[in-house]
Amino acid sequence: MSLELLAPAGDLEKLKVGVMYGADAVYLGGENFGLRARAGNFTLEEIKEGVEFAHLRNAKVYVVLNSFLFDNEIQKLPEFVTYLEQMGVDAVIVSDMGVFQTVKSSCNIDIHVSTQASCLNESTVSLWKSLGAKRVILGREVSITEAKKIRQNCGIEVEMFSHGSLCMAYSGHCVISNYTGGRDSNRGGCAHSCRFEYSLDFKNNQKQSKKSFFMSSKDLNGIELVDQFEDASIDSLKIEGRMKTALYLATVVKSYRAAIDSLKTAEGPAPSPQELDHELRSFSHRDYTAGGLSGEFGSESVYDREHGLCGDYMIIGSIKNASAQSGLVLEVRNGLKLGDKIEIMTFKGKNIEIELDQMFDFADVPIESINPNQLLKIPYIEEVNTHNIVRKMGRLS
Amino acid sequence: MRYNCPISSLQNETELSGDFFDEFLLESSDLSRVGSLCVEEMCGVARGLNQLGKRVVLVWDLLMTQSVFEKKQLIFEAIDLTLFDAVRVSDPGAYHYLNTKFPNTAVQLVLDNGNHNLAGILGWEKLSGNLERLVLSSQLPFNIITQYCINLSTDVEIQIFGKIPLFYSPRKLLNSHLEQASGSALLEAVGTSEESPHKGFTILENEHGTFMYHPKELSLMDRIEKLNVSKIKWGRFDLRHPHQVSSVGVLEELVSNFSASAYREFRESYSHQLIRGFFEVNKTDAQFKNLVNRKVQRKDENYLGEIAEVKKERYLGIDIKKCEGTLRLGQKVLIKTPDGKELLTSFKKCFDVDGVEIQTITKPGLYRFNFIPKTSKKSQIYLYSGE
Repeated sequence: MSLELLAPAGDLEKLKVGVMYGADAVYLGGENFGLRARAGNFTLEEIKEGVEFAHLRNAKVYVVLNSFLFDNEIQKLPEFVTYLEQMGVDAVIVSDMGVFQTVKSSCNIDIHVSTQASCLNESTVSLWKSLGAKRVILGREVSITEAKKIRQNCGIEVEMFSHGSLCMAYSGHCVISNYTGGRDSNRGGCAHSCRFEYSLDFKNNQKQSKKSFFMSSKDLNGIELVDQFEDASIDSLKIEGRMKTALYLATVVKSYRAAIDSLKTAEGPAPSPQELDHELRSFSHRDYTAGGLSGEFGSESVYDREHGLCGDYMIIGSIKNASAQSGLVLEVRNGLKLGDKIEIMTFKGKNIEIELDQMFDFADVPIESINPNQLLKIPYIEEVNTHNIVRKMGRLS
Repeated sequence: MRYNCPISSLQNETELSGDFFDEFLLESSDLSRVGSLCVEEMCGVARGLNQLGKRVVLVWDLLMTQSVFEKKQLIFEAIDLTLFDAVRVSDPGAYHYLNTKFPNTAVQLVLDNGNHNLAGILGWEKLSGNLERLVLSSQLPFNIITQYCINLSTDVEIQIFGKIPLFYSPRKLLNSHLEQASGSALLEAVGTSEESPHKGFTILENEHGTFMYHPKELSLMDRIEKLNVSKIKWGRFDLRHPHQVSSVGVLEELVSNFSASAYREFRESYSHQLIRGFFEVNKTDAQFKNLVNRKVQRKDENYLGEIAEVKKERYLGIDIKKCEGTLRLGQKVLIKTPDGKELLTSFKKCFDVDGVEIQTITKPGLYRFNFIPKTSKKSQIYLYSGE
C-alpha cells in the first residue's frame, strides 16, 4: 500500500495541473452539493473529461457532495450520483447522513466520509464503517498518533489533511456566517469571519482590551511528517485549496510528490527537507503550523495578522501548447518583457530557468513586452510540456 | 410541550429547580462543553432532582479526538448512571459507543449543525435501539420541524430561549493573549468585529476550547402558543447566565399565560436583543447565486471553448476545448461574453498554433481566428444550434 497524494481541482485546468504534477487522486465539486459556492465547479461534461484525463494517467477522481443538504436537494441526488458512477468517478465525499444514505441506496459508488462529519475517534470511524463507508477523512484536530490507532483498529481507509488552510473551529461547527452574513457556511457560503480582526474586552479585567485576529489560523504544513504518515499506514494525504491558484497547486503537489517518493525509492537525488520547505514558502501563504498532526493545537497556531506572507515567486502563467514546430505558447497572467528571467516548473525534478531573449505574439510577430491575459510564444524547450506552470522571482506590485 | 434547562453550576441549580422545568440537563466540566459542575457535584444535583421527581439528563456533548475520548470514557464509566434518565451526546462516536456498550441507557442525540434533511435524521434515528430524543438544529424552520415530527418516532426538542452558539473550537484562543497561561480557568471576553458591524460576541474559553455566541439571543416566546400545540415535545431554555436566570419567573409566566404586552415589556427590559433566528424561514443559501458569475460558467451543450486572448483589430486566440465533430469556417457560432452579451457570428479565417491557415478544426487546441469586436477574454464559444 502506498500513500495517496490527493490534490484539489478547482476547475478542469487545475485538475490537469494537479495530475501532471504527481497527484494520485484529485477531488472536485460539481455545480451543486459541494462546499465551495464560489469555486469554478465542474459541469457534468467537465467531470467526464476530468475523469478521462485522470484515469488515462492512473489518477483517481473524487467528487465532493459535502454540503449539508435540505430535503428538496436530497431528491435530486440519486440522478446525479448515478451519472457520476457511470462516468467512472472513483468515490464521492459526503458529510451529511442523509446524503450518505441516499448515495448508498442509489448506486454502488464508494463513499468517503468528509471531515465535516466530525470523524475524530475510533468509535465514529467504526460507525461509518458499519454503514458501508470506504474511507474516512479525519478531522484536522486528530494527531498522526491517534490516526495510526484508528487505522489499525478500524480497518478502514484513513485520509488526513496535510497542507493548506485550516478552520479554527471543528469543521462543520462554525455558523458565524449563517447568522451574521445570511450565508450558510456548511453549504458553501463561508464568509471567513474567522479571518476578521476583533477587539476583545476581557471580563473581570483578566486582560486589557486588545485588537486581534484571534480566530485566524495559520496554514497547515505537514511535509516534514510524511514519513510519520507512512509509518501510521495513512492511506491518503489531502491538500486543501480548491479555490487556490495553479501556482499553489503545482508547487504543493510537486513538493509532496517528491517527499513521498523519497520514502520509497532511491531514484536520483531527492530534494532535501530544506529545499521542500523553501518551495512551500515560495508563494503567498499564511505562516505555517503542523497543527494538530503532532499533538494539540497550541497558541502558536493562531495567525494574528491580516494578510498572508508574500512568497518569492509570482505566477506568470501556464504552458498551453508545447511543440517543436510551433514553440511554447504561454497564457500570460502577469506582464513580461524581454530580458526577464522566468522559471518553468517541470513536473518532476529541477525547474528550468530561462532569460527571455525572444518573444512573439500569437500571430508570430516579434514583441518586446506583453501584458497580462495574452498569449505569448517563445522558442521550444524540449523538457517543457503542456500544463507546466511558469513563475518568476518577484512580487506583484 | 414540556420544558427543560441546562444546569451548569451549583448556583443556577438552586435558582432553576422550581416547577417550570420538567427536565434538567446536568453539565459537568469533564463531559460537557461549558459546564462547571464537577462529577461529584453533578451526581449530587441529580440525586436532589430525582427526589423532586424531575427528569435528569447527563450531558456529554463534547466532540472528542481519540485520546480525549479514551479519557472521557473512563470518567463516564465511573458515573452511577442510575441517577440519570438519559445521556445526551453530540459526538457521533459517543452515540455509537452508547448504542453498543450501553444499549439499555436512554440516549438523546444533538443534531445541532447540519442534519437539515429528513433522510439524515431518520438515518441517525435508526442507529439506536434506545433513542429517546432528537435535539434538532436551530437553523431549521418551524414548518419543516413539524413535518419531521410526523415522520419520526422519537421525541423532538428545539431551543426556545437563550444564547445562540456560533463557534466551537478545540483551541484556546483567548489564552494566547494572557502573559501567563491560565491553565484550565474560564476566560471570558466580548468580541467586536473591526471589519463588520457586528459587536458583542460573547467568547468563552475553558479546558475544552473556545466558544463564541451570537450578540443577540434566541427567543421564540412570541410563538409559544403555536409551539405548545405543535408536535414538538420538548423546548429548551438555555439559561446559564445570571441575567437569564433572573428572567425565569417572567418566562414561566409567558409560557403558561402568554400576553403580547407582557412580552413586549420583557423584551424592552431584557439585557440582550432577542431574535427568532431561522424559526420562520432559512434563506442562508439565497446569496449563493451571486457568488459565481454564471455567465462565464460553461454549459455543456454545443460548447466549443473559450477566448484566451483578444488582440484588438487583429485576432482572437481561442482555446477549443471540445470538438466532437468538425468546426468549419462560416458556421454560425454563439459567443457569450462574461458580462452577459451574446453575439451570433461566424469565423472567416483560422490558423492553427503553427500558423498554418486551415478551413476546418477537428481537434481541441489553441487556434487563431479573425478579430470579432465586442468580445473579451473568457467569452464562451458555442456552436449555434438555431434555437
